[in-house]
Amino acid sequence: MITTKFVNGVRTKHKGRHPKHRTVNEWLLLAVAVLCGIAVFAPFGLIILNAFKSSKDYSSNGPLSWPTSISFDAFVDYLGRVDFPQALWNSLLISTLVAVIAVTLSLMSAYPLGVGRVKSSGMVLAVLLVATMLPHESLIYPLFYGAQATGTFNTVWSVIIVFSVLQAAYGTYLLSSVMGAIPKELIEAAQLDGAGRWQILWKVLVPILKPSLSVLVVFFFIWTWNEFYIPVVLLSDQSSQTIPIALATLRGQHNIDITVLNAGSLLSLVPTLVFFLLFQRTLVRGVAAGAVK
Amino acid sequence: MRSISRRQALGGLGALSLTALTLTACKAAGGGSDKFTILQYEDPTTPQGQGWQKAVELFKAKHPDVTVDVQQTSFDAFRQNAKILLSGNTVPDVVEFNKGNADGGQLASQGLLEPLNDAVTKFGWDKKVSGSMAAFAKYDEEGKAGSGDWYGIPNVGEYVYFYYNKTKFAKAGISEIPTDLASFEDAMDKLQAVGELPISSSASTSQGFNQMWIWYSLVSAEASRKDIDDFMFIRDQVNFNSGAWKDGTERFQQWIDKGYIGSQLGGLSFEQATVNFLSEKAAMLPWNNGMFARIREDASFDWGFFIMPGAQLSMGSSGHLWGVPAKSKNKDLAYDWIETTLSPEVQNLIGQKGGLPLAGDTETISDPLTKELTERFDEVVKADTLSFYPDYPVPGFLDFIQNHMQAMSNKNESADEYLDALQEFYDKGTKD
Amino acid sequence: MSKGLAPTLRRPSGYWLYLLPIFIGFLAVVAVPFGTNIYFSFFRWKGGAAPMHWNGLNNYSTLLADTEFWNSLRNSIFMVIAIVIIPTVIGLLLAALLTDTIGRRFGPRIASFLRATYYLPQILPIAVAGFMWSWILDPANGAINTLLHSLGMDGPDWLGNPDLAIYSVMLMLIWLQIGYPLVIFMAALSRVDPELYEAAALDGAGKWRQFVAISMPTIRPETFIVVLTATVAALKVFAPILILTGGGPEGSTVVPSFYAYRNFFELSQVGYGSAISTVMALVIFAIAALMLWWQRRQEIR
Repeated sequence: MITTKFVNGVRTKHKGRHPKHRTVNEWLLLAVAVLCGIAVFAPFGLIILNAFKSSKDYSSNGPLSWPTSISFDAFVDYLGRVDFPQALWNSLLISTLVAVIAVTLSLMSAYPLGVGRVKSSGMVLAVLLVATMLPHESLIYPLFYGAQATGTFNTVWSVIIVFSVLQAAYGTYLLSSVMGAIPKELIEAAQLDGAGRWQILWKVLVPILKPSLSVLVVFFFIWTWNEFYIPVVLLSDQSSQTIPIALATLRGQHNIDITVLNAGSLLSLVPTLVFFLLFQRTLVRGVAAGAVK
Repeated sequence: MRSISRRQALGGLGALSLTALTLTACKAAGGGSDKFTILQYEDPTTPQGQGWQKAVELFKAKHPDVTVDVQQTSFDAFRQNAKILLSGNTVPDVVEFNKGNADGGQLASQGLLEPLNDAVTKFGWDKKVSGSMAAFAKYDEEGKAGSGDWYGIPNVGEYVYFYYNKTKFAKAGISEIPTDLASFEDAMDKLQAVGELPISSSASTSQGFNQMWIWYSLVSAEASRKDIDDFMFIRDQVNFNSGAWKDGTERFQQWIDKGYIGSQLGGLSFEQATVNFLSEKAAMLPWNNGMFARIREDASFDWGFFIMPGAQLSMGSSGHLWGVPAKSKNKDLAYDWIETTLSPEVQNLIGQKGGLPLAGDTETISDPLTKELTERFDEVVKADTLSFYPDYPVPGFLDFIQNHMQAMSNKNESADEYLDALQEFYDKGTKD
Repeated sequence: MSKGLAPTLRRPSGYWLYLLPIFIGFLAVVAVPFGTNIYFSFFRWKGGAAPMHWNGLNNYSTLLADTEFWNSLRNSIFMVIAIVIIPTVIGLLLAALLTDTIGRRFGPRIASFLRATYYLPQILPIAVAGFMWSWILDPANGAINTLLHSLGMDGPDWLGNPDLAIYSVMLMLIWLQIGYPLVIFMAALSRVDPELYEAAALDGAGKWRQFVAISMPTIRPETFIVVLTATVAALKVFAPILILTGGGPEGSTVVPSFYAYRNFFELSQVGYGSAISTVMALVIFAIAALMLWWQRRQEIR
C-alpha cells in the first residue's frame, strides 16, 4: 500500500521538462551515441549481408561485398537441414523456465542476504558466487552421471535444473546488493502496517526491484539461450537439442557452410532480440516504480 | 575395477543430490530394444551424408519392426564428448567416431568400443577395407593405431591435392601440369613473374590447416613408406633431423621465403584461404576432396586438380569410422547397419556424389570430373602411397604443429628450430 | 496481516528458510561436482573409462612450474582490461548519456533503440561473432585493413602477429562486453529521481557535476556488481579465444580456461585440467571475496 502511494507520488512529479531548446552540445552527444551504435552494429551488417547471398556469390566476392542478388537459398537450406521448430521449442522452453525459476530463486535467496542481513551473509554470497566461477568442463563429469542416475539425461529438465541454479547464484548477488541499498524505513513502515516477511518481499520489494528483475530475466533468458557446452553433453538426443547445438552441426571438420551459418544465426537471433525488445519496455516503465530517495 | 567403483560412487552422489530437485521431473526416454539409435556427424548434404540417408531407407526396409533414430551431432562436439557420452548408461547403438590415437585409440583402449573382429570375419569387411584404409580402424591395447583388434569400419576415403585455377596457369604460360617438385617450383616462379600469388594458404591456430598440409605434403613427397609408418604407428625411432623430414621442412621454409605461399597467414583460417582462392586472389589451393562439391559449385573460373607433383607419398587417409559402443544394446543390428553402409547401393551412390567410397564401383560414375577424382584416389590407394594426416600419432599434436606453422609462416622460427621442437614433443608424447 | 507476525520478523533465524532452495540446488549442481573436480585433480587420468592413477599433489607442483600456465595467467590481465575496465567506464558514460541527455532531451525511444543496439553483441552466439571478427581482422581483405588501405596505409596482421593478436582479441571483447554494464547501469539510473537533477541544475551544477554527485552514488551497488561479475568473467573467458585465435598465434593468446580446456580434451589430461580449474577457481574466489569484503566496507561507510 505504501509503495503504491509512493509510486503514484513520483509519477505525478515526472513531468515538466520541455524537449525543446536542444543545445548544440546535446546534438553532439547524440551524434557520439549514434556513431558508437553504428560501430557496434557494423559486424551484424556483415551477418545480414552474407545471409542473403548465394554461396557462389560469397565465395567469389568475399564477405564484404554487396550481394549481387538477394538469395534465400541459405535460409531454405538451413531449415531443410536442421529441425528448427523442434530446436526453437526446446530453446524457448529451457530459457523461459530457467529465467522464471532462476529469478524466483534469486529473489528468495537475496532476501535474507540483502534485507535480512543474516549472519555471515558475505560469506554465503562469496560461496554462492563460486557457481559463476567454475569452468563448466570441471563440472561436467558429475553432472553427466548425476543426470543419468536421476533419469533426467537427454531431457530438457537436466539443463533447466543446472542453469536455474548457476544463474540464480548470479541473481542472488545482484539482488542482494540492490536490496541492501533500499532504505530501511520503507520496510519498517510496512512492518508497522502489519505485513509479514513474505508479504514484504512480494508487495514492497518486488515492485521496487522491478527494473533489476527485468534485467535479470533478460540476462538469464539470453545467457541460457546461448549456452553450448553443458547442453551439448546433457542433450545428445536430437529431440531435446537447442538452437546453438543445431547451429554447431553446420560446422564440419574440413568444411563449413558460411551462408547457411549466417542465415541460421540470424534466425536464431530473432527470438532473443524479440525477447529483449519486449522487456525493454518494462525497463523503461520501471523508472517510476524504482524511484527511491 | 577401479573405474567401475568410481563411476558408481559418482552416480550415487549425483543421484542423491539431484533427486531432491527432480522429484517431479520426467522419466528419461527409455532406450527400448526396438529402437535403434545411430549417432553421426556428417553433414546430410555431403556425399557420405546422402549415402547414409539411402542406407537408412534400406535398413528400415530390412527391419520394418525397428524404429531407427538417426541423430546428428558435430565433429567438434563428438570429439570432446565421446569419452563422456559412451561411458553413460544409455548409449547410441552405433556411432561415427574420429580416427587417430588421440580419439579412436582412446575410446578403444578404454573399452568403450566393442572389438569387431568376429563381425569383420563374418561379413568380410577386411576385403573392402584394407591396406592404408584399414590402418586407423585397428588399435592395440594402448590405443595405438595400425595393429591390434578392429574397432571401426570406414566407408570412404579422402586425399589432399591442389585445386588450381586454369586461367591463371595459362596466363603464366604454364601449359602442362608439373610432374616433379622442380617443375612445380618453376611453375610457381612463372606465376609470381606475372604477379600472381601461387598458393592460397592459412596458418591460424583456429582452423588454419593449409600450411600444415603443405608442410606434411612436402615431407611425404620425399618419404618412404617406412619413414611414415614409423612416425605414424610409433614403431622405429624417428629422427626428424634427417631424410625426408629435414628436406621437406627445409623446402617448406624456402617456399615461405620465396613467397609462394603469401604472407600474413598467422590469422587466416581454411575458410578464408578457400574464399581467397575462389575469389581469384591465388592460383592454387591445397585441400582435400571435402571441398570438391563447393569448388565445383562456387568457382566462377575454369579449374582442375593435381596431387603434389612427383611425390612418393601424398596426404590422405580413410574417412571417420563406424564403431559399436561396448554398451550398445543392439549389437547385431549395429553390425547389420555397418554392412548396409558398405552395400553396393550405398557405396555407389556415395561414389556418384564424389565421396570416394571404399567399396564402390568407379565405373558406375557417369560424371567425368567426379570419375577422374575417384580414379586418382583409387590409384593412390592401390599403390599404398597415402601418408595420413600428421597430427594422428600424439595427443595435442594438432595444436603443437599449428603453433609452429604460425611461427614459421611469421618467420619467427627456422626449419631447424621447428624440427628440434618436433623431436622433443614427439619423443615425449610417444613415451607414455 | 495480523500484528502477531511482527515479532517473528525481527528474529533473523527465520530468514534462513529462504535460502533452503538455493542451498539444495547449489549442493547438487556446484558443490558436489566441484568437490569431484578437486578429487580428480589428485589423479593422472585420461577421462572416460580410463583407469585413474593416484598422483598426489604432483599435478599441482607441475602446474606451479608450468610456464605456459603462468603465461596464460598473465594474459588474464589483458582480459580484465578488455572485459572489466574499459567496458565499465564506457558503459557508465554511455548509460548516463542515454538516460540523461538522450532519454530526456530526445525521447526515451531513441535511448531504448540505442541501448538495444549496444546490447546486440551479447545476444549473438559467440561462434558467429568470432567468425565475423576473423573477417573484420583479415589482413588482406578484412574490413579494417581495406579501410586503412584506402587511406594509403598497410594494415598489420591483426590475428597472426603474436605481438598484436592479444590486442585484437581485446577489441572484440570490448565490443562484446559493452552492452552488459550499459543495461545494468541504465536500470540503476532509472532509480534516480529526475527532480534531483533539476534541483542540482537550478543550483548551477553542470552535467559532469550532476553525474558525479548524483548518478555515481546511486548506482554504486551496480558498479560493484558489474566490476565483480565482469572480473570473474574475464578470468574465465574462454569461447572467444577458442573461436578467434585458438590460443595462437604462437601461444600468445592462451588464457587459463583455454589451457584447462586443452588439457581436458586435446591432451586428455583430465587430472591436470582439473588441477588447473581448481587453482583458477581458488584464485577467482580469493579475488571475489576481497572485492565483496571491500564492497561491504564501502556500504557501511
